[in-house]
Amino acid sequence: MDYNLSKFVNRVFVCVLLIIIYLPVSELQAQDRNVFRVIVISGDDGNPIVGANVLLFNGETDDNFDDLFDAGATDSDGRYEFERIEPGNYTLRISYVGHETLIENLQIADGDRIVRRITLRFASSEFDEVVVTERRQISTGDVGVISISAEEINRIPSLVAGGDLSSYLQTVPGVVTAGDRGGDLYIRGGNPSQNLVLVDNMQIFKPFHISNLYSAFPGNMVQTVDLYAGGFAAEYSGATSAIIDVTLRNGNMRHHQSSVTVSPYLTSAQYEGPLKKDRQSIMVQGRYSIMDRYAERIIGEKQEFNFYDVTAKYAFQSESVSCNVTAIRTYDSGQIDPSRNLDLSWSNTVSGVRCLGFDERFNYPVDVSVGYMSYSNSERIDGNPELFSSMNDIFLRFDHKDDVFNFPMDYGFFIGFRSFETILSERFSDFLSLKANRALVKSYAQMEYSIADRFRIQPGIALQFTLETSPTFEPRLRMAYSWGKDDGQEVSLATGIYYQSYEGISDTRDAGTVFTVIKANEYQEQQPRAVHGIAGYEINIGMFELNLEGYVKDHQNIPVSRWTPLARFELETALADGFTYGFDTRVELDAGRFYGQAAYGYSNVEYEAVSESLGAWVEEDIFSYNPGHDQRHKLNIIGSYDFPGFTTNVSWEFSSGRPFTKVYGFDLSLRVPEEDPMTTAGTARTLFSKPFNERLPVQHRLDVSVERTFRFHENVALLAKIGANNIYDRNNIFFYNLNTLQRVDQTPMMPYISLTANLN
Amino acid sequence: MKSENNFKTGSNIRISLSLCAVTLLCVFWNTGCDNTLDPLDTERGIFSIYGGLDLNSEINYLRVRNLNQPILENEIQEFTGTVSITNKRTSETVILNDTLINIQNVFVRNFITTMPIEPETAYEVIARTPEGKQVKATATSPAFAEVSVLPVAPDCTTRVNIDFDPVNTGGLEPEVGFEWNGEILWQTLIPERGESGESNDLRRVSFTPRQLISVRLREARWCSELPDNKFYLRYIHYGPEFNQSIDSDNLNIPGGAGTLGAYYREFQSFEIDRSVICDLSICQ
Repeated sequence: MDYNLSKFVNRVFVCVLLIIIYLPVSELQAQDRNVFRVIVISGDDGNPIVGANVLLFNGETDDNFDDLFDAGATDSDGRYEFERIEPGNYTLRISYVGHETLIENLQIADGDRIVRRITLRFASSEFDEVVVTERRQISTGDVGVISISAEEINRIPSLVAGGDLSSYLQTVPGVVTAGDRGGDLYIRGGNPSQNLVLVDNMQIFKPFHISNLYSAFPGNMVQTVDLYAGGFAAEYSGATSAIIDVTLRNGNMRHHQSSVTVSPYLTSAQYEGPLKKDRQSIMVQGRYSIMDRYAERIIGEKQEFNFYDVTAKYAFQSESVSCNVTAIRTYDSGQIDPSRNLDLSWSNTVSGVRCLGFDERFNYPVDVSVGYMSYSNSERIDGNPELFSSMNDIFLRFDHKDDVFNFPMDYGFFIGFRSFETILSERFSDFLSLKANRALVKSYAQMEYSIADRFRIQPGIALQFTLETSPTFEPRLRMAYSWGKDDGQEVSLATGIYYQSYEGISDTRDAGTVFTVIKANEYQEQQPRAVHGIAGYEINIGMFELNLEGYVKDHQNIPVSRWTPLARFELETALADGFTYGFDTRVELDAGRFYGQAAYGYSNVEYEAVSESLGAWVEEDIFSYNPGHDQRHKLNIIGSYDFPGFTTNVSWEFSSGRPFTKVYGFDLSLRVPEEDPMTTAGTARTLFSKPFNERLPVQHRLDVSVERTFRFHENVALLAKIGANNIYDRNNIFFYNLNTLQRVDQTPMMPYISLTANLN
Repeated sequence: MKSENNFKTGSNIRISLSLCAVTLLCVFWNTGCDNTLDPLDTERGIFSIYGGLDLNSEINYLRVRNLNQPILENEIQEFTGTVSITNKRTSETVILNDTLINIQNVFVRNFITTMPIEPETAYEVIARTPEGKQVKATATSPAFAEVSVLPVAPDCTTRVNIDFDPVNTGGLEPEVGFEWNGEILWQTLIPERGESGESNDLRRVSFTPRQLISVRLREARWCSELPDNKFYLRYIHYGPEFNQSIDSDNLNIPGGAGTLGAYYREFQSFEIDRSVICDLSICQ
């Protein structure tokens, strides 16, 4: 057996063996540990409730809730577990908006291992709950993390009913897009290929559509989204910038529901319902864009692109296990630069199974996922395929938790087999084909300590390796200290080292294309690496919540295209180091009918590379520059008001200009004296000035929507939504086409009306 | 459960909303009325100049292009500047006329110069805009090298030295050829410096006729198989500015792009002795 393969197999064997040996041993050791686990189910649709308030008080009481033992909120699977519970009498209280509160006395005996599925009855009058009591106990040190609910997604004006995650993410400070086309998100200085997007534990490479107003995650499909803009814990690895962890909701386990949406830009249809009441459900949604057919009549501009996405989810739940099967297919094609005949396309195919076992025999739930991911993108000029790149992945993931020295430890492993393929057959360069296969193993372990319910620390370690690379060493640390009963003040820190086993290469000089070559790392010393540091402060003042967060990210080995004067895709790359620092601040007011949020972000991104390797014609040996996603200032203001009978949403964004490179010439070069000026035209080339030495103008945009539900029957309702993006029709620049000297602006004012028919 | 539902919907909220609206309106008016963009760096890029000044030619052509104009098919773009050439030794300056031609659907502009190009002389080409911005390119012509072929009439196995003196730093591209099947086949030779004690500007190529024929034809051949006793020499002698390659990012015309240089080509023949017929005792 080849030496590298032998070493790799040995490492995998040791990892798996350790886990297999440890698992039964730990189970035997902890058989006498009391377990009290609740799974909170909604009486409305039979699905687990995320974020339900779960409180356990000492003693049996109906009205005296002062002696709190523990409190928290249910997770994305509707679970909450009380740790280190001693035998005795308790009172359990569970509440959630729109549901009746449950209060129940219970007794825990020595050795009890209890898993309770609790259904909260749906009560439409119970909409007044807006604040969680005992907030300090619930806060978990969430620096660098933004948890996004479907309700929050729906607050952002969007062209679809229920909102879209893509529209929401663009209101988050530190998230930068190149415009309203292309589907690329830059998060706190990191580029799109440095982000990892997960949906139900499966990677999806590029779920954002060619129109940045849409993604594969409409609000009505989302259960929770966690955006880790940096400093993420050891359970996440394989990305050097950010994590977007999406959990789709399950289909309704009690009622059949369907909806159809029509609008000038998008049509969709959805069905969900039980296969077996309270046990199995299925949910299917398909969306198809029709922008290319009707947008020109409304906004006066052709939108030469289209896309579709199809999502299906089967869910099964019982007292001891819940499983779901998720499949997503997205496809995008078209032109983001209407002045060129450059066709782009990309597609995602993702499918997988995830099972969570929380039987009382387990100290902690066991989480297993297996799945498949495929991503490909291409670029064509004048209909001729020229550039293609893809990545495919089959994986198995295992997550568990157990007690080590009486402290809970999360651990797990990931085994994946990836293939990469790139074909470049551009007119100006030789034909090039690259293929690579990689076996990847990742594992992690993290523990959580809590001192006096005020100070929490979460150290962890992650590692990953392939046949070609030695194991990485990725320590992580998250800490939080909270104080103040009424104002819930909290300070939190997060830091860590991050590695990535593949890289994405785009020609960032050309904003008219988003084609990306995806290739596996070949050399250990050139593996992309980053160090993050984040500090945050949060306080609640009355109805206001104030959040302030500062961060730094130090990236190494970022592949950037070499700078050449010739107009061609440059696969040859230089390695740059990047340093990002900045801060975000957010003020939020949630006052019943009114919701308001103002968020400001400052960010400074700088890259540095050896001038010679970069190919930049500058005097200095080391060239520093601000790349195209260095957006210094971003201000977002969101407002939402529930009037009687209808809801209005407003979103305004202001952002400073991003860097771009001026051109100092369009040349037809001649090889004299071999080429005769009287018979040879010469070779066309664009001469770039000093890279990214200028800034685009500032941008701002106001989006507004109004929606109202008309109920015609107990089972039939019509949701009408009317609104406009860029309502004052500002010409926000997208980029400048240097070949035709034409300015390409983002979408002008985009009015819309959307009708969604809901059938129960 | 007792709800903590303390929202204030009264005048406080309304005042806050009004203030926000006024603030936003002020921001709208003051931020970003100027939405213009100039993508061209007109300070750094002005003209490109390409040309080879041939010492042996009465007419030379210089391609001059305004770098700020995009390359468009079948579109004639106005050229408002002037192009001149100056003999730096005599200070003679001539303003050049241009000719516009369409090559592969692109209109290009070449400037015509009939100024004699003399050896070891610097020439300066200046392209100027009406506003006074200018781009200069300088080319230094090489000296006419004296060529000697020794020995005279060598036989097929005798080492031949062709000396060129002086050769400037621009370089030399010599080729030696022979007639075969009705055409002249050329072989490029690499010039080397002379031996110790010889001139620093001397460059030499060395070969044996038999070896050159065999290498070029890729099989062992003998001089007696040639149709006649002539060998041919052609070469280009470049001035120093031709050291830059066209793909280099190190653009050698300040404020612009391009390559300007001077050169000459020569062609001559010399004789070899084909009298020795190849037999095994001699041509092994």
